[in-house]
Amino acid sequence: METILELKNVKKFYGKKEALKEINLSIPEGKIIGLLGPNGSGKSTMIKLINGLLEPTNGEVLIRGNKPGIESKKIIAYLPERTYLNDWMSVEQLLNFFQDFYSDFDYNKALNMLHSLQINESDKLKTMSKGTKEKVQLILVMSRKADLYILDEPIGGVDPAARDYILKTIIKNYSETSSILLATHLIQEIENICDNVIFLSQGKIVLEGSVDEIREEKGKSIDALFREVFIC
Amino acid sequence: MLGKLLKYEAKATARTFIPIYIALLIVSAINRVFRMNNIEMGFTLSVLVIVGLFIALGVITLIMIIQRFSKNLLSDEGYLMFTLPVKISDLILSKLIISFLWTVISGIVAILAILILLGDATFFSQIKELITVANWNYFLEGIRQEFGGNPIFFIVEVPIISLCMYINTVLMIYLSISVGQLPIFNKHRVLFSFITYFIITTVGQWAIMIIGNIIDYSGFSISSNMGLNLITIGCIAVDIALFMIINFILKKHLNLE
Repeated sequence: METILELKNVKKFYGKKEALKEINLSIPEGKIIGLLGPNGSGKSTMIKLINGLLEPTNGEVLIRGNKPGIESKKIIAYLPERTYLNDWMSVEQLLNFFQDFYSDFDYNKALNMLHSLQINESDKLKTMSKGTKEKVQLILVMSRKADLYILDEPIGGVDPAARDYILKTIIKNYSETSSILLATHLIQEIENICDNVIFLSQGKIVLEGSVDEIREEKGKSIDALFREVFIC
Repeated sequence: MLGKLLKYEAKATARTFIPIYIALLIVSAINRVFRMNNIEMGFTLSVLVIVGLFIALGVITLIMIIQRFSKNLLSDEGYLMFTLPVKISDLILSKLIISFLWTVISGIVAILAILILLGDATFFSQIKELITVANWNYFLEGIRQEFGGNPIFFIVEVPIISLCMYINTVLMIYLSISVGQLPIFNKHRVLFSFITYFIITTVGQWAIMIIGNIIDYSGFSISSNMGLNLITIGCIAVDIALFMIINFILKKHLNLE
């Protein structure tokens, strides 16, 4: 099984503040991995580094052996926490946009998923509620046949029914040669779809491994373990 | 990929410019109708509207230049733009090119508006009278006298220098916005963008003054081919330098919130 993502001795300083302290990480193909940690633990920093939105102060970030750049961006599908879509576009224009820039984008798949949520091509983003926009974003991202999906808080601001839909979409839509990195603090929800988890605290990985093994070893759910580890 | 970025940049900005162009041309036509029918009040009113529209066009062009860079690249939309598999230099270039495109189109629309307002047989025959070989030679001779060197250099290089100065203005704005988003200026982006703009334009003016003095002292004069060539080269060099700095900042020091 090949490695999709590697972080080697990665450190990131913001001025004097050390956001990431010596991270070593390797993510293989075909896994769903939960990146768990409280706010300020370094999740966003790590995700930005993988996406090439930040440069590491030390160490290397490698995606299929390449440093973040045009080649890695072709194979990473990124869903950020915020709405990043151009407000003036209609759904159809957005679909065309994604198709134009990403050769792995499946137009029809995206269209079908949108239709199943009663969203039409002619709908404008401007007129949509926040929840609907987030669903549109997720569908666009999951309609790409990427090697690595990075989903940052994909179910954060959404109602429970939509959450189920989103999680189902995630599971249905990835392949054996790709992996999903799911950053969230809603652990209960995602615990059952993740193969592995990484606990991030104050810039360090404090726990890492397969969900099953950890549950067996510690005798409790990941959610309960999280509350223990990150007790305030 | 640059082509695709250009396409989307044009689409994103067309929605703002096209309505103004249409409004301008329509009001020009209305104005002409009023004039031809001697409806003074209508005429005066539409003149005011046209002037207002031209001013609005200028202001909106400036706002668009700023907004397309700061909003589309450096706010939430930046998460989309900077994760596209494109070169960062293409992101900058696409916005620069499209802003120039709209400036050119604005000029064309202005000419069209004038033609609609004033174009008739008399107008065109007057223009025809102006464009003669004799007048062209007179024009060339005038340049030769004022400027001193071969007029062809002047005619070729002045438009190039004008283009470079336009690019210069836009790049200074982009650079100021890029500097303002640096992590050190956290939470005070707009303020530091303005401060940066103020600083680099002031420094730029000093630099021009100093270089002008050096050229004077070294014996070259601007009214010679060499001087003009130096200005052209200098302008292009500054534009390239500005572009490279902006590219560097966005590549290595991007600070999306």
